Parts: sequence; structure tokens; C-alpha cells
Amino acid sequence: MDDVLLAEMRALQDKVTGITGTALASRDGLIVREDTRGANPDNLAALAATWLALAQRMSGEVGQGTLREAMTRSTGGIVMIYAIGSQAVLVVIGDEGLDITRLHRQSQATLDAISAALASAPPHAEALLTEAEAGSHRSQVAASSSAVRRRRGQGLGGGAA
Amino acid sequence: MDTVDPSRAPFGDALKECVDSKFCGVLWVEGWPGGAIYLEDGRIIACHTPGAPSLEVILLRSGRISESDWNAAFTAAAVSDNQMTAELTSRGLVGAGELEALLRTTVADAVFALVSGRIASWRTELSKESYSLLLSPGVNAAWLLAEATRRTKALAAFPGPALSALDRVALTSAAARRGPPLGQGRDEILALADGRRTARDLAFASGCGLYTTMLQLIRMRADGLVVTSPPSRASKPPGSPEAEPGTEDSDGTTAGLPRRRKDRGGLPQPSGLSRRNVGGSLQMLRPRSERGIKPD
Repeated sequence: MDDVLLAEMRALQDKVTGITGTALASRDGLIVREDTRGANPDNLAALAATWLALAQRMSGEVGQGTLREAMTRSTGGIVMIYAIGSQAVLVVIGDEGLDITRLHRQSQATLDAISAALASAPPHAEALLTEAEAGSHRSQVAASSSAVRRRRGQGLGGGAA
Repeated sequence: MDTVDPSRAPFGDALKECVDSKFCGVLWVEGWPGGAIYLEDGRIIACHTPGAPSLEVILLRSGRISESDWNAAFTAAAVSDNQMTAELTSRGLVGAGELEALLRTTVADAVFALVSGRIASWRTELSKESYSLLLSPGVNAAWLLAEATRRTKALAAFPGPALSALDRVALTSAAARRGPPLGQGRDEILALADGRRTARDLAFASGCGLYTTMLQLIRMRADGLVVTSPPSRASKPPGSPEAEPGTEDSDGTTAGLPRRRKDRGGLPQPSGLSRRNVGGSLQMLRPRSERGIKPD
């Protein structure tokens, strides 16, 4: 089956020296596509979504505008994450010789192509939490948690949190 | 900065011009893998490229120097504006003779990677920037180019198609059935070859030089232990990228995002995260069935 998402990820890996793996996750931490070796894709997805959110908050906190990418650089290589609109996050894993300059030049085309592919897919009611839905859900969860705490405080016990 | 049209002057002539003019600065090379050649008085003192492991990779991957020792030497060199080579030897981490030999090896490997790849263009830049891990005195550029040519010819002497650093490497069934260890670093390379890693990737992953790795690969290919192939054409994006509406993959996702099941509780929120929400997100790090499409 023709998989445009995986094809774009692999094309980026072919174009940039040193990329050892890629993964695409939804903003709420679910793996969409993965092309890595050994890394647990579910862990990657959850970590990437969390990290992107934190990185964007950091950018906002210091007034530096829109986040372009976030990066870790370790002894054994580099991990970069990119936001794809408000829907997804792309993870790029590279070894010590990752050609970061070329990655900067090539990544935008990949992000645009993945964004276009995701936008062309029909929206699913359960599939994607938009910002509006997320905000609504947070309010509901907070209200529910408060209610549970109140019941516990009153000695009524409670169900699962 | 001057950009030279490759159609007017081969790279070798450009490098010779740097040598003859006793150039001090950087020769930036665009291409694959591309990189930079650093010269002082026309002699090569360093070469950096994504195409071959640096001395840092070689030393750390082999365990010759610990990460903490390396970091300490790097920090001290940066703070005191000292050369990294001096810090490594003064701290007794590497002997002076050994370090010079390793540096020459990695510089030769980097030049080999750079000139045996594709060179699209280059430009010179005058620079008095202080770099770390320099060869002093520098190496004769003509010798390095000649050595790179010798290595290319040595690899071409083996049977089969020419091996490129970009070629992907996969094991044969014979490799899976092999008996006692092969030695000479071959077992490490075979353990890392997965059909996606290129020869260059295997050099980095094994912490060995590019040429050494390619030589082992081409020998093992001749022995029937590995097969090599150029990067897959299938990895190029298709001509019609839009997904069919309603198209669903076998794993239950659309070409877009996965369908969240309503019985999942504790949805972590990507924005407005507090320390508590981060903990909630990390609760998702429990094993679940694979969703992504496995690479072929």
C-alpha cells in the first residue's frame, strides 16, 4: 500500500546524512508511523508530544515566537522534534555525524508534505482532539477530579480517579 | 568568499591552489557527504564531514576514553582556549604519539569520504577561527588525495558493483548460519547490519573508520555474508501524495492520525502541562501493540 507518510520520512532519511530513524506522533502522544531501530515507538510518541508542548511553552515564556524545532544533543547523537501544524510531531533521530545544516534545509519540505497529507485525510470524530476540544475536555476532567476529591473529603470514598 | 563553478575547475585543482598559495582557512565542500577541509600554510590540519566518524566518535565508541574524561578535557580546552589535543595528552588520557596517529587516520578517512563522494561545489573562506583537535604540523594535501585515490582503487578491485558509502547493507542467510566469530570487527558489523543502515552508518555505529568498514563490507560481500544495494527508490514520495478519502490502513488508522478508543482514560493534554500532567503522560509509557508500519 502506498504510504505517503512513511515515504516522506524515508525520503528525508535518504536526503540527509546521519539520520538513523524517524517517527511521527500525534500531539496527544500516539504513534502514527515509525521507522526506527530498537526504540519503543509508544515511548517515543509520548515523549515527543510532551517535549514539544514543553518546548513551545518555553518559546512562549521567553517571547521568542513560534518554535522551529527542539533538539537534544548527546554523546551518541542527536534528536530533533518538529511541530506539524497543531496535529502532529515529527521526531528525527541522528547519529554523531548528523548533517544538521542539510537537515535544516530539507526538513521544511518534509514537514509541509506531511502536513498536506494529514490535512487531506478526512477528520475522525474520535481521531483528533482539536485545541477547542482539548480545552473542553480539560475542564471536564478538572471538574470530575474536584468532584472525586470532594467526595473523598466527605468520607464517601471514591471510584478510580 | 569565492564560489567556484565545478565545471571550470576540478576539486583537485582547487585544493592544489590552496596548497600553492599556502592558504590559511577553510575549504567548504557542498555535496554528499560534503564537509570542510581546514588548512594552515597550505597543509591540511583538520577535515570534518558527516560522512566519516570523527576522532571523538572513534575514541568514545571504542571506550578508549570515557565520556566524563572527554567532557572534562573539552570544557578545560574551551575555558582556557587551549587545544583539545594538549588537554587529552596533558591529562594522560591518550599518549601524544597515539593521538597523532589517530588524528592522521581520521583526517585521512574524512578526506577519503569527502572526495570519494559527490562534490557539487566548494568555496574558500579565510578564517583565523581556532578549532580543536588539529594536526600540527598539517598533512600534505597531495598525499591525502593520492591516498584517497588508492583506497578507491583498492575497493574497486573486489568483484561485483562498486561499493558506495551510501549503499544499504543486509545480511545473507549464510551470515545467519555462520559459526565461530569472524574477528577483525566483522562480527560487530554483521550484528549492526539491518538492511537499512548504509556503509557510512555502520562505520559510525561500530565506531570504526569509513574506509576500514567499507573494506570489511566488500570482503564480506565477496564471501557471501552480506548484500549491498543503493538507497531504495521506493523511499521517494509518490507522485500523488493525497490519501484517498476514507482509506484505512490495516492497523486501523487512516492516512491521518490514529483513532483514539473511547475506553482510554486519563488523556494527557499537550498544552497547559503541569508537573502532574507530565506524570500522567508518562503513564502512557506502558507497552502497547505496535501501531506503526514496520519498515521493510
